[in-house]
Amino acid sequence: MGSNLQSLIQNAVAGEPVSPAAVSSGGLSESEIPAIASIAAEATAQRERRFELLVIEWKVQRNGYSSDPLELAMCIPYQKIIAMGPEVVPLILRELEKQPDHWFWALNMLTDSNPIAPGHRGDFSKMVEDWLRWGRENGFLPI
Amino acid sequence: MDSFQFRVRVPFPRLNDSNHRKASSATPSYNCFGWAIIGREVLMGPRPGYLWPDVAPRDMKLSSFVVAASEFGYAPCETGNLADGIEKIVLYGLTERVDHAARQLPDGRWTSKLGLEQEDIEHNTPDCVSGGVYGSVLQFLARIQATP
Repeated sequence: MGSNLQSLIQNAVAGEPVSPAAVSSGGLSESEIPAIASIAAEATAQRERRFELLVIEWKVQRNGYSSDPLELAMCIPYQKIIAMGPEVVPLILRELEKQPDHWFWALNMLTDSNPIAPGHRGDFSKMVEDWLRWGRENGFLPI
Repeated sequence: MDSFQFRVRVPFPRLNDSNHRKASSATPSYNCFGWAIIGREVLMGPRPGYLWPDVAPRDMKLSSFVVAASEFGYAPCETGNLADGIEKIVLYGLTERVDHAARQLPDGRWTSKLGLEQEDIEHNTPDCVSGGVYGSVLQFLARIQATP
């Protein structure tokens, strides 16, 4: 696979639109756009399936009696989610919005951000709101 | 035995039919430390985003929790016996690492939030949740009861 095509696919998998301009500047033809888009869509779907399965595994495997979020975060499926990299951030934020849970550690690790206002520390629903607001402001969630 | 009872008997082998009751539904929105030490539904601990006094070291050691609890007026004491005008909490652990906290109720029973995602229970004595995943009692702490 040529480096231009590889780069276009990587960008498409990361969520960037496959534009004719990018294709032509990469020395490729417009006829290759559907193939690139298809590969990217399949990769996105695979990532979403893997995330959903890992969330289920995490909820089954985690120590439900621990009060320390670090223990939940050290659970192998949670670590595997973090290892999926920054591309998993939108999926975590959507999951946080759908079913609030202890995703703060992963979000903190993956984004190097901590949008929780000092006055909201310890208040679960406000911590969730702060992260969802951050997600909207940074383009990870629809406004 | 209902599903709740079935679920808690393995991690807490000293719970039986007559020494505790479920007191809330399951929720991820607070933990035992906030529930016991601060006395309300908050997440407390030495982790990012959680409530934790600046003066306390950011680790799970008993000594760090004693410092953190002192910021809320608690000081170590010898027993969990009910005493007029005194509020007590208890810290548990398998080692010197704190794994759980419970707070004494005005009638002498104790209230525990189980984990980050489970229910509250009320139990007759501190010992009811010992001997399982939380280990044993590490330290009792007491403070003068706040004036209502």
